[in-house]
Amino acid sequence: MRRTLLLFLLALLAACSHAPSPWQLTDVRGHLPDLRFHLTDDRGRPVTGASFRGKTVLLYFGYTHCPDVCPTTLAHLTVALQNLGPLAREVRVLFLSVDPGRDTPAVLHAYVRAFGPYIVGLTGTPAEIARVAKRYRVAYSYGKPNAEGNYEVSHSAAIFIFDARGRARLLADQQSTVAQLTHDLHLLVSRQRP
Amino acid sequence: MKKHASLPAALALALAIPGAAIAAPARAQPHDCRVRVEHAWVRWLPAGLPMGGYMSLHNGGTRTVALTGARSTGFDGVMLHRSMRRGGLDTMQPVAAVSIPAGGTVRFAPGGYHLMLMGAAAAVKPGARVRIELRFAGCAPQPVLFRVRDASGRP
Repeated sequence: MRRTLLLFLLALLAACSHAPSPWQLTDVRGHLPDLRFHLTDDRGRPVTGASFRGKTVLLYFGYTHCPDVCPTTLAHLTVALQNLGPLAREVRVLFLSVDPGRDTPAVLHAYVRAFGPYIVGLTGTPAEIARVAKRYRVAYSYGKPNAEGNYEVSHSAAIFIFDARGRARLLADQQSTVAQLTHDLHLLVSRQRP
Repeated sequence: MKKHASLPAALALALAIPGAAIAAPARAQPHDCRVRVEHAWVRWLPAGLPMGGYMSLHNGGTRTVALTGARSTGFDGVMLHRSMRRGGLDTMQPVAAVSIPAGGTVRFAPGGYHLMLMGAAAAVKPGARVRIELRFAGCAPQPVLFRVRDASGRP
Protein backbone atom coordinates (compact mmCIF):
# COMPACT_ATOMS: atom_id res chain seq x y z
CA MET A 1 0.00 0.00 0.00
CA ARG A 2 2.77 2.30 0.99
CA ARG A 3 4.58 1.42 -2.20
CA THR A 4 1.52 2.21 -4.26
CA LEU A 5 1.20 5.59 -2.59
CA LEU A 6 4.85 6.32 -3.26
CA LEU A 7 4.45 5.38 -6.92
CA PHE A 8 1.37 7.53 -7.14
CA LEU A 9 3.23 10.49 -5.66
CA LEU A 10 6.14 9.96 -8.00
CA ALA A 11 3.79 9.83 -10.96
CA LEU A 12 2.15 13.04 -9.79
CA LEU A 13 5.52 14.71 -9.45
CA ALA A 14 6.52 13.60 -12.93
CA ALA A 15 3.24 14.93 -14.31
CA CYS A 16 3.88 18.27 -12.65
CA SER A 17 7.40 18.64 -13.93
CA HIS A 18 6.25 17.71 -17.42
CA ALA A 19 3.30 20.08 -17.40
CA PRO A 20 4.46 22.30 -20.26
CA SER A 21 4.58 26.02 -19.69
CA PRO A 22 2.57 27.58 -22.49
CA TRP A 23 5.24 30.27 -22.91
CA GLN A 24 8.46 30.08 -24.89
CA LEU A 25 9.78 33.38 -23.52
CA THR A 26 10.46 34.02 -19.82
CA ASP A 27 7.29 34.18 -17.74
CA VAL A 28 7.60 37.16 -15.38
CA ARG A 29 4.00 37.36 -14.22
CA GLY A 30 3.89 38.83 -10.72
CA HIS A 31 7.58 39.70 -10.74
CA LEU A 32 7.68 43.05 -12.50
CA PRO A 33 5.60 46.21 -12.06
CA ASP A 34 2.64 47.14 -14.27
CA LEU A 35 3.07 49.37 -17.30
CA ARG A 36 3.15 52.90 -15.94
CA PHE A 37 4.87 56.06 -17.24
CA HIS A 38 4.41 59.67 -18.27
CA LEU A 39 6.17 60.33 -21.57
CA THR A 40 5.79 61.97 -24.99
CA ASP A 41 4.99 59.95 -28.12
CA ASP A 42 6.50 60.38 -31.58
CA ARG A 43 3.72 62.80 -32.56
CA GLY A 44 4.59 65.02 -29.60
CA ARG A 45 1.52 64.02 -27.55
CA PRO A 46 1.72 63.29 -23.84
CA VAL A 47 1.03 59.59 -23.17
CA THR A 48 0.88 57.37 -20.11
CA GLY A 49 0.86 53.63 -19.56
CA ALA A 50 -2.93 53.84 -19.40
CA SER A 51 -3.00 55.18 -22.98
CA PHE A 52 -2.12 51.66 -24.11
CA ARG A 53 -4.60 49.67 -22.02
CA GLY A 54 -6.46 47.22 -24.23
CA LYS A 55 -3.32 46.50 -26.24
CA THR A 56 -0.62 43.93 -25.69
CA VAL A 57 2.51 46.06 -25.26
CA LEU A 58 6.17 45.35 -25.99
CA LEU A 59 8.49 47.84 -24.29
CA TYR A 60 12.04 48.19 -25.59
CA PHE A 61 14.65 50.74 -24.51
CA GLY A 62 16.92 51.96 -27.31
CA TYR A 63 18.04 54.98 -29.30
CA THR A 64 17.90 55.94 -32.97
CA HIS A 65 21.63 56.59 -33.48
CA CYS A 66 22.09 52.86 -33.07
CA PRO A 67 22.59 51.44 -36.56
CA ASP A 68 22.93 47.76 -35.63
CA VAL A 69 21.24 46.22 -32.60
CA CYS A 70 18.16 48.49 -32.30
CA PRO A 71 17.02 48.22 -35.94
CA THR A 72 17.79 44.50 -35.92
CA THR A 73 15.56 44.07 -32.86
CA LEU A 74 12.78 46.23 -34.30
CA ALA A 75 12.96 44.36 -37.63
CA HIS A 76 12.63 41.09 -35.68
CA LEU A 77 9.60 42.38 -33.79
CA THR A 78 8.07 43.66 -37.02
CA VAL A 79 8.28 40.19 -38.57
CA ALA A 80 6.67 38.67 -35.47
CA LEU A 81 3.83 41.21 -35.74
CA GLN A 82 3.38 40.44 -39.44
CA ASN A 83 3.14 36.75 -38.53
CA LEU A 84 0.22 37.58 -36.25
CA GLY A 85 -1.87 38.79 -39.20
CA PRO A 86 -4.92 40.82 -38.13
CA LEU A 87 -4.13 40.14 -34.44
CA ALA A 88 -1.19 42.55 -34.78
CA ARG A 89 -3.71 45.38 -34.47
CA GLU A 90 -4.00 44.43 -30.80
CA VAL A 91 -0.25 44.93 -30.22
CA ARG A 92 1.92 48.02 -29.80
CA VAL A 93 5.69 48.08 -29.72
CA LEU A 94 6.91 51.00 -27.59
CA PHE A 95 10.42 52.07 -28.56
CA LEU A 96 11.47 54.16 -25.58
CA SER A 97 14.50 56.34 -26.31
CA VAL A 98 17.14 56.57 -23.62
CA ASP A 99 18.78 59.35 -25.68
CA PRO A 100 16.33 62.28 -25.42
CA GLY A 101 19.11 64.75 -26.33
CA ARG A 102 19.02 63.54 -29.94
CA ASP A 103 15.72 61.70 -30.17
CA THR A 104 13.12 64.38 -30.72
CA PRO A 105 9.56 63.23 -31.49
CA ALA A 106 10.21 64.08 -35.18
CA VAL A 107 13.30 61.87 -35.44
CA LEU A 108 11.54 59.10 -33.56
CA HIS A 109 8.51 59.39 -35.81
CA ALA A 110 10.55 58.96 -39.00
CA TYR A 111 12.42 56.08 -37.37
CA VAL A 112 9.48 54.01 -36.16
CA ARG A 113 7.54 54.60 -39.42
CA ALA A 114 10.42 52.97 -41.28
CA PHE A 115 9.59 49.68 -39.53
CA GLY A 116 5.85 49.37 -39.43
CA PRO A 117 2.49 50.68 -38.35
CA TYR A 118 2.29 49.33 -34.80
CA ILE A 119 5.50 50.80 -33.42
CA VAL A 120 5.33 53.94 -31.28
CA GLY A 121 8.35 56.05 -30.39
CA LEU A 122 8.50 57.44 -26.86
CA THR A 123 10.72 60.11 -25.40
CA GLY A 124 10.62 62.51 -22.48
CA THR A 125 12.73 64.52 -20.12
CA PRO A 126 15.82 62.74 -18.78
CA ALA A 127 14.04 62.47 -15.42
CA GLU A 128 10.90 60.95 -16.93
CA ILE A 129 12.93 58.38 -18.83
CA ALA A 130 15.08 57.59 -15.80
CA ARG A 131 11.93 56.94 -13.77
CA VAL A 132 10.68 54.31 -16.23
CA ALA A 133 14.12 52.72 -16.48
CA LYS A 134 14.35 52.50 -12.70
CA ARG A 135 10.90 50.96 -12.50
CA TYR A 136 12.04 48.04 -14.68
CA ARG A 137 15.63 48.07 -13.37
CA VAL A 138 16.93 48.93 -16.80
CA ALA A 139 20.41 50.43 -17.11
CA TYR A 140 21.84 52.72 -19.76
CA SER A 141 24.90 54.90 -20.04
CA TYR A 142 26.48 57.36 -22.45
CA GLY A 143 29.92 57.13 -24.03
CA LYS A 144 32.29 60.03 -24.52
CA PRO A 145 31.38 62.28 -27.47
CA ASN A 146 33.87 62.18 -30.37
CA ALA A 147 35.14 65.19 -32.36
CA GLU A 148 31.80 65.47 -34.20
CA GLY A 149 29.85 65.33 -30.95
CA ASN A 150 28.57 61.80 -31.62
CA TYR A 151 28.44 59.35 -28.78
CA GLU A 152 27.44 55.74 -28.18
CA VAL A 153 24.73 54.70 -25.77
CA SER A 154 24.82 51.39 -23.94
CA HIS A 155 21.33 50.12 -23.29
CA SER A 156 19.42 47.16 -21.96
CA ALA A 157 18.69 44.32 -24.33
CA ALA A 158 15.44 43.44 -22.57
CA ILE A 159 12.00 43.53 -24.19
CA PHE A 160 9.20 43.69 -21.60
CA ILE A 161 5.82 42.33 -22.65
CA PHE A 162 2.61 43.48 -20.94
CA ASP A 163 -0.93 42.19 -21.35
CA ALA A 164 -3.93 44.33 -22.28
CA ARG A 165 -4.44 45.22 -18.61
CA GLY A 166 -0.89 46.53 -18.33
CA ARG A 167 0.43 43.61 -16.29
CA ALA A 168 4.01 42.50 -16.96
CA ARG A 169 3.80 38.98 -18.40
CA LEU A 170 6.87 38.03 -20.43
CA LEU A 171 10.48 38.96 -20.89
CA ALA A 172 12.25 38.63 -24.24
CA ASP A 173 15.48 40.00 -25.59
CA GLN A 174 17.17 40.69 -28.87
CA GLN A 175 18.20 37.03 -29.12
CA SER A 176 14.66 35.69 -28.77
CA THR A 177 13.67 34.15 -32.09
CA VAL A 178 10.86 35.42 -34.29
CA ALA A 179 9.17 32.01 -33.80
CA GLN A 180 9.23 32.39 -29.99
CA LEU A 181 7.92 35.95 -30.16
CA THR A 182 5.20 35.02 -32.63
CA HIS A 183 4.11 32.02 -30.56
CA ASP A 184 3.85 33.88 -27.27
CA LEU A 185 2.31 37.05 -28.70
CA HIS A 186 -0.31 34.97 -30.49
CA LEU A 187 -1.17 33.19 -27.26
CA LEU A 188 -1.22 36.35 -25.16
CA VAL A 189 -3.33 38.33 -27.64
CA SER A 190 -5.82 35.52 -28.32
CA ARG A 191 -6.38 34.94 -24.61
CA GLN A 192 -7.39 38.55 -24.18
CA ARG A 193 -9.89 38.77 -26.96
CA PRO A 194 -13.45 39.11 -25.68
CA MET B 1 33.48 14.59 -45.18
CA LYS B 2 34.58 18.18 -45.31
CA LYS B 3 38.06 17.25 -44.05
CA HIS B 4 38.56 14.77 -46.90
CA ALA B 5 37.43 17.23 -49.50
CA SER B 6 39.87 19.88 -48.30
CA LEU B 7 42.89 17.57 -48.37
CA PRO B 8 43.63 17.90 -52.10
CA ALA B 9 43.08 21.65 -51.78
CA ALA B 10 45.58 21.83 -48.93
CA LEU B 11 48.11 19.85 -51.01
CA ALA B 12 47.58 22.15 -53.97
CA LEU B 13 48.16 25.16 -51.73
CA ALA B 14 51.31 23.68 -50.25
CA LEU B 15 52.62 23.05 -53.76
CA ALA B 16 51.64 26.49 -55.00
CA ILE B 17 53.34 28.50 -52.25
CA PRO B 18 56.97 27.87 -53.23
CA GLY B 19 56.18 28.92 -56.80
CA ALA B 20 54.55 32.12 -55.58
CA ALA B 21 57.50 32.91 -53.33
CA ILE B 22 59.86 32.78 -56.30
CA ALA B 23 57.65 34.91 -58.50
CA ALA B 24 57.15 37.74 -55.97
CA PRO B 25 59.54 39.70 -53.79
CA ALA B 26 59.26 39.48 -49.99
CA ARG B 27 57.74 42.97 -49.58
CA ALA B 28 54.05 43.88 -50.09
CA GLN B 29 52.46 41.29 -52.29
CA PRO B 30 49.41 42.81 -53.94
CA HIS B 31 48.71 39.55 -55.74
CA ASP B 32 48.08 37.95 -52.36
CA CYS B 33 45.36 40.44 -51.48
CA ARG B 34 42.56 38.20 -52.49
CA VAL B 35 39.59 39.12 -50.34
CA ARG B 36 36.26 38.20 -51.84
CA VAL B 37 33.38 40.31 -50.55
CA GLU B 38 29.87 38.89 -50.76
CA HIS B 39 26.35 39.64 -49.51
CA ALA B 40 27.18 43.32 -49.09
CA TRP B 41 24.17 45.33 -47.95
CA VAL B 42 23.21 48.41 -45.98
CA ARG B 43 20.19 48.77 -43.71
CA TRP B 44 18.58 52.08 -44.65
CA LEU B 45 17.36 54.36 -41.88
CA PRO B 46 15.56 57.70 -42.27
CA ALA B 47 16.23 61.21 -40.93
CA GLY B 48 19.97 61.15 -41.64
CA LEU B 49 20.52 58.53 -38.93
CA PRO B 50 23.63 56.35 -39.07
CA MET B 51 23.14 53.08 -40.96
CA GLY B 52 24.73 49.65 -40.59
CA GLY B 53 26.66 47.98 -43.41
CA TYR B 54 27.08 44.21 -43.60
CA MET B 55 29.07 41.78 -45.72
CA SER B 56 30.96 38.55 -45.79
CA LEU B 57 34.74 38.75 -46.31
CA HIS B 58 36.58 35.68 -47.55
CA ASN B 59 40.35 35.69 -47.69
CA GLY B 60 41.43 33.54 -50.62
CA GLY B 61 45.11 34.42 -50.13
CA THR B 62 47.86 32.70 -48.18
CA ARG B 63 48.37 35.26 -45.44
CA THR B 64 46.17 37.11 -42.96
CA VAL B 65 44.72 40.33 -44.33
CA ALA B 66 43.52 43.16 -42.08
CA LEU B 67 40.57 45.36 -42.97
CA THR B 68 41.60 48.74 -41.58
CA GLY B 69 38.87 51.08 -42.74
CA ALA B 70 36.40 52.11 -45.37
CA ARG B 71 35.11 55.23 -47.08
CA SER B 72 32.39 56.13 -49.49
CA THR B 73 31.23 59.14 -51.45
CA GLY B 74 27.72 58.17 -50.30
CA PHE B 75 28.54 58.92 -46.64
CA ASP B 76 30.37 61.59 -44.66
CA GLY B 77 32.09 58.94 -42.59
CA VAL B 78 32.48 55.17 -42.31
CA MET B 79 33.75 53.39 -39.22
CA LEU B 80 34.40 49.77 -38.35
CA HIS B 81 32.22 48.88 -35.39
CA ARG B 82 31.31 45.93 -33.28
CA SER B 83 28.19 45.41 -31.17
CA MET B 84 28.69 43.55 -27.94
CA ARG B 85 26.63 42.39 -25.01
CA ARG B 86 28.17 43.33 -21.69
CA GLY B 87 26.43 42.65 -18.40
CA GLY B 88 22.96 42.73 -19.98
CA LEU B 89 23.77 45.93 -21.85
CA ASP B 90 24.07 46.22 -25.61
CA THR B 91 27.00 48.36 -26.50
CA MET B 92 28.91 49.40 -29.64
CA GLN B 93 32.62 49.90 -29.99
CA PRO B 94 34.84 51.27 -32.74
CA VAL B 95 37.33 48.71 -34.04
CA ALA B 96 40.72 49.70 -35.49
CA ALA B 97 41.13 46.64 -37.72
CA VAL B 98 39.55 43.28 -38.42
CA SER B 99 41.85 40.40 -39.37
CA ILE B 100 40.74 37.84 -41.92
CA PRO B 101 42.91 34.72 -41.67
CA ALA B 102 44.18 33.02 -44.83
CA GLY B 103 41.39 30.85 -46.19
CA GLY B 104 39.03 32.20 -43.56
CA THR B 105 35.77 34.13 -43.64
CA VAL B 106 34.71 37.00 -41.38
CA ARG B 107 31.10 38.05 -41.39
CA PHE B 108 29.87 41.55 -40.73
CA ALA B 109 26.36 40.68 -39.56
CA PRO B 110 23.63 42.20 -37.36
CA GLY B 111 24.60 42.07 -33.70
CA GLY B 112 28.36 41.85 -34.40
CA TYR B 113 30.81 43.56 -36.71
CA HIS B 114 29.27 46.23 -38.91
CA LEU B 115 30.21 49.31 -40.87
CA MET B 116 28.82 52.38 -39.15
CA LEU B 117 27.78 54.67 -42.02
CA MET B 118 27.26 58.30 -41.03
CA GLY B 119 25.81 61.26 -42.89
CA ALA B 120 24.20 59.51 -45.88
CA ALA B 121 23.80 61.34 -49.19
CA ALA B 122 20.22 61.70 -50.45
CA ALA B 123 20.89 59.09 -53.14
CA VAL B 124 21.27 56.40 -50.48
CA LYS B 125 17.78 54.92 -50.29
CA PRO B 126 16.19 51.48 -50.35
CA GLY B 127 16.76 49.68 -53.64
CA ALA B 128 19.84 51.74 -54.54
CA ARG B 129 23.41 50.53 -54.62
CA VAL B 130 26.16 52.43 -52.87
CA ARG B 131 29.87 52.09 -53.54
CA ILE B 132 32.02 51.66 -50.45
CA GLU B 133 35.78 51.38 -50.72
CA LEU B 134 37.31 48.89 -48.31
CA ARG B 135 40.90 49.43 -47.23
CA PHE B 136 43.11 46.49 -46.34
CA ALA B 137 46.60 46.87 -44.87
CA GLY B 138 49.23 46.44 -47.58
CA CYS B 139 46.66 46.06 -50.35
CA ALA B 140 45.02 48.34 -52.89
CA PRO B 141 41.63 49.76 -51.84
CA GLN B 142 38.81 47.52 -52.95
CA PRO B 143 35.53 49.09 -54.13
CA VAL B 144 32.43 47.10 -53.26
CA LEU B 145 28.82 47.75 -54.25
CA PHE B 146 26.44 47.49 -51.33
CA ARG B 147 22.72 46.96 -51.94
CA VAL B 148 20.60 49.32 -49.82
CA ARG B 149 17.75 47.42 -48.17
CA ASP B 150 14.86 48.99 -46.29
CA ALA B 151 14.79 49.17 -42.48
CA SER B 152 13.51 45.59 -42.23
CA GLY B 153 16.77 44.40 -43.79
CA ARG B 154 14.92 41.94 -46.00
CA PRO B 155 16.55 41.34 -49.38
